[in-house]
Amino acid sequence: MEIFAVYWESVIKTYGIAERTGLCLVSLQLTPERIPDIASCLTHRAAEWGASPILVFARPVSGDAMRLHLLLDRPLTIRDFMELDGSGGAWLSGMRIDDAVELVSLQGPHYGDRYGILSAALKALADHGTPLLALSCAAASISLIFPQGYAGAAVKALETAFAAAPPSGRTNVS
Amino acid sequence: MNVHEQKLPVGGLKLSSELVQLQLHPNDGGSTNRILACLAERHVNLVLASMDVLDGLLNGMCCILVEDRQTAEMVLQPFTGAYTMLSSVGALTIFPHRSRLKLIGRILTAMHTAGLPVYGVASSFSTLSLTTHYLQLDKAVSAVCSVIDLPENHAPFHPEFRVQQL
Repeated sequence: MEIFAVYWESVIKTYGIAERTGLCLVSLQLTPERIPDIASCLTHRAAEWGASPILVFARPVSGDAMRLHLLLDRPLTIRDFMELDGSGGAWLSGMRIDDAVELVSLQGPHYGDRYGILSAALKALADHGTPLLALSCAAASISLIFPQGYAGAAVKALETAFAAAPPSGRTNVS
Repeated sequence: MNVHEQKLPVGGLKLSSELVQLQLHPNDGGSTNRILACLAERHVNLVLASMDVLDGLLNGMCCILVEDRQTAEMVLQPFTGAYTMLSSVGALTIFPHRSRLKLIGRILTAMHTAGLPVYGVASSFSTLSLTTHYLQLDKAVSAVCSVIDLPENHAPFHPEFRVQQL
């Protein structure tokens, strides 16, 4: 069954734009041979971190490798990974940790089924010169990650392209 | 998986229709913005996307419906070399992930053990989607279901309806 939706919007409607600060973005190179070690670390020992993933996303690199990103709710250091890594640190090469990153997320009706939503968000950010670290889009959500201190500017930029639902539509989660 | 490990409860699992994955090659962000703008102008929806900036260059992937492939190839002709297309791709989505690193680790292990490729991962606060070969989606369901516990009377995995914007 196919359902057709028509949106007559001069500005794209959103259910709200939310900010969250003080997060940690961990990025690492994930090759198939490293999956067992890294997955084992995530599965069995990550509870020792006391950190929870807010987002997990990955994109292909070369061959069958991926760049895996974990957006965590508390800061971590390379030392945390060295202590947990049972493989002698082999998969720590290529790891990058961005501390104090900020998340701006927005959701809207049928965002996962509508064209032009991410493009509108990226254009608004580019027009306002807001630097972006990473993004993940799934279902009806767009999640944008910024360096420390840029979430507020990002929200202002996004508000030029998206109209939040009343009364405020903007929530501070942190 | 250790047979003594309990399956992790989730609320549901959904499969996408057939997709094409666009791998966006490293760029300063400008070409990605133009590519996405061109797709939007031709009403091509991005089903999911993951991107990051590494060493000042934007890299990423996004997925479009297979029926939009021809339109995308036509409109993206000026961007030859800026992207590659991977087909045929399907997305498997689990919800909610409840912020469990353990769930992610087990799913990656299950896919790896079953010899299934993972082409990309995207998530929201509640959903976790991974892309693999479309023709291997059923095998991926079997692999993932070995580590997750779905509710009884779960809705069909394949979509029963689709929303399309005019």
